[in-house]
Amino acid sequence: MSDSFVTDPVVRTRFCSFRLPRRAMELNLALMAVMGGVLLCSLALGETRLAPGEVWAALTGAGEVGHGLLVNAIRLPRSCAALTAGAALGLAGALLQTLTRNRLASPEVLGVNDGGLMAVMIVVLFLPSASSALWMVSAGGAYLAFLLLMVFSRDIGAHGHRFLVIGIGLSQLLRAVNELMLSAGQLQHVTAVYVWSVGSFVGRGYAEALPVSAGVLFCLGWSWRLQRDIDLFSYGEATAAGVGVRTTSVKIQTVLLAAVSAGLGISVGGPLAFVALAAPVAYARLLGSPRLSLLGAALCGGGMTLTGDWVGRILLAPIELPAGLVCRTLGGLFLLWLLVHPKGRGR
Amino acid sequence: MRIGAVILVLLAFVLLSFGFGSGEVSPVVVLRYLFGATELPDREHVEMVLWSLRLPRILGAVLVGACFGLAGALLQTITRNRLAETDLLGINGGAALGVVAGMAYVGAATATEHMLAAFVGALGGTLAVVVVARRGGETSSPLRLILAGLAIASVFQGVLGFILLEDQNHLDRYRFWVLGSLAGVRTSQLAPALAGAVPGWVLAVATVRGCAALNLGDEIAENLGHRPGRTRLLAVLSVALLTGTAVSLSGPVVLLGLVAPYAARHVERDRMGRFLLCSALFGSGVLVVADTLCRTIVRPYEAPASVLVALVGAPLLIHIARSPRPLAALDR
Amino acid sequence: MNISVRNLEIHYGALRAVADVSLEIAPGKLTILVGPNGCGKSTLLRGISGRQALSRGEVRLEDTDVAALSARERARKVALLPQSPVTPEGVSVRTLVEIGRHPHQGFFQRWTPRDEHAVAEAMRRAEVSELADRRVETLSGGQRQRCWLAMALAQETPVLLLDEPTSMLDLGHQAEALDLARRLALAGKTVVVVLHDLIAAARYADVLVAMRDGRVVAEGAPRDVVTSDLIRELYDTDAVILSAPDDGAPIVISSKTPTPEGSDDD
Repeated sequence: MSDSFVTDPVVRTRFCSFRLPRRAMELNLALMAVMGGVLLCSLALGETRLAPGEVWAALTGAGEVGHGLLVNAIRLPRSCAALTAGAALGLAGALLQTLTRNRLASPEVLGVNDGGLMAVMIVVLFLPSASSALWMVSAGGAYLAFLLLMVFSRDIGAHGHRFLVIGIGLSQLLRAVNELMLSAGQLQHVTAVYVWSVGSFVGRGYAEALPVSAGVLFCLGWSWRLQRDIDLFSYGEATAAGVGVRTTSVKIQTVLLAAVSAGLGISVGGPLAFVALAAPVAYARLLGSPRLSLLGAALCGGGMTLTGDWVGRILLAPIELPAGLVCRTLGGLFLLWLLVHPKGRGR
Repeated sequence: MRIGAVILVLLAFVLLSFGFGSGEVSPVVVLRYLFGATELPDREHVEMVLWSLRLPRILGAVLVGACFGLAGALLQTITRNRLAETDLLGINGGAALGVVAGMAYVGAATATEHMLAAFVGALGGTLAVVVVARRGGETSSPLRLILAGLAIASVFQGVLGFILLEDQNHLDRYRFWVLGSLAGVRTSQLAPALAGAVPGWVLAVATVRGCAALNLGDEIAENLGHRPGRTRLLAVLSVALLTGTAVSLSGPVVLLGLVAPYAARHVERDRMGRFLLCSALFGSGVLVVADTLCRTIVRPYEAPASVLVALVGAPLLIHIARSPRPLAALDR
Repeated sequence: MNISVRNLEIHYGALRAVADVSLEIAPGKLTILVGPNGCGKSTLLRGISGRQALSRGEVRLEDTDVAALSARERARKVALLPQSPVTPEGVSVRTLVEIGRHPHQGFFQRWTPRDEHAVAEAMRRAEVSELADRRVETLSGGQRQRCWLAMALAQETPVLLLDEPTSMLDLGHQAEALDLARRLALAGKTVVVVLHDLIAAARYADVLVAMRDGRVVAEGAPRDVVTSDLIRELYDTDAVILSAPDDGAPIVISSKTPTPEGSDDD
């Protein structure tokens, strides 16, 4: 494990000066390339296989009508939905983990996922007429859970741990109630809800992807402004305050951004577990440094869900496996691989 | 002193618990029986209910609660992370996978078979975590343990999901098992459960000194002559045995592993041995109370244990976390 | 920059860590706070830095109340080196020192030549330049302590507060660090150092402030203040005071039990 650190090149113009995080940028570009490749595969391969040329033709509107429909109306929107969901979750996880200096911190641990699931279950099992607006319901449930968390912990300015512990208590409570409802409902409803609860992008498209990506971009932008301050939290709150970070304000903003982002993420395809937790960890290992990279975590998350969705479609075609399960299994194996083979100066 | 108080409270709960439950035997009758009243109608029935139904169940609750509480305390100590619990580290997931796979593919149907499957699953999960945490040329640092546990938990959950979706029947049976319940606990199951739990306790006791040193940091622990890597390994094995036993008896009752250590820390923060004991006692106490409530609040049905534990434990956890004590020790 | 502490009190719940302390700390002189364990010197330092809530009293920098400053302004005026800071893993020494520049960096101006110069100079002064590309967690305790000192120096503040900056340093590095603190003070900064080592404090301080049980029991130049009575009051131990041959600063020699005659016979 070498100790050498490459110095980042400095950029200075009349208006601004900064250093290019070269390694992070290279990694991000590589990730984007990989995601582009996966996207292409996801458009080309599935129950119906298309050659790359046919995909291109479909995208530009020149190919067969059937192919055009498949690519433009089904696969592309669905892939976009998967991408934005993963990006939102990865961002949320990165924000919380850096703020609390705890790799186990993620929105699902705080009850956001369980809140969303609860809202959906209530609707599906008791108010089936409202099933069409499911994505709003789930986002609403997630935010309500978060609000409850805020009410209980009262004071975010307190230690990060207190906040997390209360979140866990709340999430377990919600989870228990969810499991109770699962046992109470009729089996076919329960199965449908279970599939949703695991996370799946079947039937998702631009209707979900567009508002969510707008939200994700907004969150990314806002947290980008705060990025340096949030990163300083990894040196401890005392040190961060010592170099001039407005700790309470930054904490509140970060938690809010994480909650909004997570809620958006689960509203697309359901409460996908593991992505918010694992995307920042995987990115940190690939980069070899625990420095916060919001774009990197979002890219990792998006890549995970996109891959999960695609693999779920092709693995046992024509049966579709829910993306969430694939994410969990493959994501877990990927993390295991990263743990067992440390890359250079990774840890 | 304070531990004595906790023990007394636990005993009180246990005694109280005897008074309630199924079998149509009211608290008054129980009291009369215990005080040696001779002209009890239906004496045989009362005896049957008390000794064959309630006693094993209460003993089961004490055992399961102690196992979860102790396991949670051990995990939090060796990972130095107050959020660590068996659920996040894949041990519960392994047990669940064992049970579901057993139900689905091996045709496990009896309670003992479920027990075995859960036990094997929990051990398998733990083994995987330990193996991964030790690879890569580093000793199992807390972070590696956590990450390995996360990864394996995730893989197990994924595979579990596949099995459940494959056949609706699997989901149908799983959704009841996952709620957790002590209703089916019989005397015949207590002996094999002890066989699993006692080695776990013994291992836990063996790691007490090592764990106390771990709190000071790996470097200092080594200077004092301990071996942090070995302590962690033994502790994880203990956790596996304890959790496997507990889950096999009652299903996954997760929150106990988090609440019990938190409560215990308020009573006994300094001495590791007492902290672990306290954690086990709190686990038992919470579960006994929850189980009593399970039997009484929706008579004649049974409320599921995990919901009750969550209802009892979550407010307790939130209350503790909100207390204004300087919780500086929580932050590392 | 003058620091005025007036009637300062800091409570931790029922515990009174600092009780009614009033001090005037001037630039140009090295001020050292000493006292037995638990006397409140670290708490007082944190109170002066503005990072600790005050139960009563106020701290003023020149004429500005420290509590009224924003976090950024305060970070530009006061640098505090805490006792046991958190070190994240995977961070290089250079990166750690660089975060000391944060209060001077805006959103657009993130890495000016000024920043580079300050970091290089800070690392040179704290003697960690050759460790610049090493990871902090691989360093020894003493090396790490110097890295944090470099970070505080990189902040380039008129007020420098150091909490036990030498506890893990060997004799050579300890002398260097305290000498550096003294030179910075002489150059015009206001430097306050908390030390538990009275001997070193007596050697290097221009102004010595002795505390016990949250109160100031002595304040002044070491040669006036350091007496065997003071040492007995602070540490409950007997000592002999000598004068240093070069500048007359007091040298404290604590007494020890004389070896009895013939005790090695066995």
